Amino acid sequence: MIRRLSVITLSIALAGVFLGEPARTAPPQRLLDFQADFHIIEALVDGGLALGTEDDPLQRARHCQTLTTVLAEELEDAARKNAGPRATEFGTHLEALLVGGLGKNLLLARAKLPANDPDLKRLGDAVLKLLLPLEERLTSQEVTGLEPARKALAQGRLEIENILKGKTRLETPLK
Amino acid sequence: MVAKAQQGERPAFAVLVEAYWDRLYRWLYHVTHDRHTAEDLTQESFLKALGALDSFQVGTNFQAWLFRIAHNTLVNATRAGRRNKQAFPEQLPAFSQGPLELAMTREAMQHLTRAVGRLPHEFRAAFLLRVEEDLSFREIADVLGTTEDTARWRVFKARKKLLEVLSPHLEPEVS
Amino acid sequence: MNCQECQDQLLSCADPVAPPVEVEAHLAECHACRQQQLMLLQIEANVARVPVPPSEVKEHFLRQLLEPAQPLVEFPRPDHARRPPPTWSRRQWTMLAVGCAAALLLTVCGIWLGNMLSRRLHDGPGPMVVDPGKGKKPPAKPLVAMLLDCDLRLAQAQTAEQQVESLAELAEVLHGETALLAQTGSDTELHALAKLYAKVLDKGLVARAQLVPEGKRKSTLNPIAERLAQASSATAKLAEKAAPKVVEPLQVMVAAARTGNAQLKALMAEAVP
Repeated sequence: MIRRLSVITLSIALAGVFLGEPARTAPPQRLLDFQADFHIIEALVDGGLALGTEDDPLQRARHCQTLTTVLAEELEDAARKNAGPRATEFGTHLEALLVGGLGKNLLLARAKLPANDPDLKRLGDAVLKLLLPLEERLTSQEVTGLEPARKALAQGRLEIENILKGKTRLETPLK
Repeated sequence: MVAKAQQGERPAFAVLVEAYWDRLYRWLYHVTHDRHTAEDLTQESFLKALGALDSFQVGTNFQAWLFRIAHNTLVNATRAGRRNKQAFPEQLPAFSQGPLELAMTREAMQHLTRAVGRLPHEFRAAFLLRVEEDLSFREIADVLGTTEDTARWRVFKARKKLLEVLSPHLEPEVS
Repeated sequence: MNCQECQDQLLSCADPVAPPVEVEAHLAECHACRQQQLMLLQIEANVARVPVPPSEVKEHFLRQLLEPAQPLVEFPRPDHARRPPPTWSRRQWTMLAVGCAAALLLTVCGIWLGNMLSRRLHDGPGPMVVDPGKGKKPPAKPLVAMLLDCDLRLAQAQTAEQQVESLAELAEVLHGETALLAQTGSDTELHALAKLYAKVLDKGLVARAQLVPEGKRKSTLNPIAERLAQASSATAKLAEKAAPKVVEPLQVMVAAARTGNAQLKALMAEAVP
């Protein structure tokens, strides 16, 4: 009886050693995120460099369009996998980029260019062609966890549409 | 599969139902603008096809044969006063994804949906058989019980009307 | 062939993607007709997207079509085949309770022992923190979010000074990940990070700093140069204690920060009257 108990105790203690071990050496989440998101990180750094070395608002809008494509692809990927939190994260990023980056520069470009400038229109249409099908897919999926992402995307898309239609203007006119 | 169905194998006929139900229903819905009517006609058409399988020549186009049965059923139902003319419904499910390079904006899709719905029904029927079912003008003529020239003319008229109505809303990029 | 004839033929051909040869020839030279063709193709490509409510009777029809000769029936187990529930004595229940408690205690002890042994095996410096130069704690916000914040500031920057400041922040965000990658020995990731960091400093920060008006160079560039010096120093200290495989990328970052600092100082010196 005592020998049996000793064997059981030793077995459980050894099991505990192995249970304690993996938790210590699992890579930190931030590293895993870095590895998984490196293509996005690289795109954001390159995008930042392009934006930071450009003065023309239409060119900046083009760089923002490139970033929009990257973020939209991540959002679509998250939606496909029903990964609500990640979809929300990228929906929020997209909204911020559309409003604060692309939208702001489209507004500045509109103020400087003729009303029906074809380059401006082409850029705006290309962005909407990217966003509208994505928004439709998020709507048609009818998964509750994707609703915040859809709302954020819709807000961003609406901002761009309003700017292209002339409904949103610069707060302070250009000198 | 048709040959097996002709020998009385119900599972073989079920495979044909699986393959063609949605397409036939979709075409009948577009022609009738009524879900219940389209479903009734689809069901009736398949029952008639099941009963008339012996008359089908293996090697010829089963789809065209089936659609001809459906069209005759529709015409008979109209003559008997069973079918009420319906306006094209405005509340519809969301748009599905299309080819990216020829994608339309949501607004343009709404115009397209309305424009297709407003085509005269004989033009609409012929046009959809050509574009969605990829039937030749000869096969379209067989389905609709008319001549090849008339089938071609109906598709011509449908395309002309759609271009006329939709060209202000389309902005193709010509290289 | 004139335009009217071309467009009529397009509308009546079987497939506007591949019209007759004479139509193709006209399209090759006529922008307006090509536009018509494209619009027609766009219409036809999207017709399939026109929505239709789903059919709800298909499955019912198929079920009726395939109705089997006999329906499936589930029979209950006969009484004699059911296993009787266990009936234990009070003594047996007591022994079971004591045994479970003992097993739980032994498991907890085992895990504690395991943790202690694991710490001994991995004896070494604990997590290191590289001060990015502003005395800030390691960032908790995801890296992607921080980079996007920088990009938005860059998208809205109105002057070269604002651009330079935001590019410096972009570099610092990247530098903030150094400690983690060095600690975990992720040399591949650290190499990639070092490359991005050096690119931002050289192609972004220093390049743009040259456009800062001379009168504003000192006020704009001096704080950034100091931060670069601190980053260089902190990364050099990290490299002294780091695993061999991550030393090289850390040194790349040290060199980039030092070079950046030197170049900014040179630009400030140029501006001195």
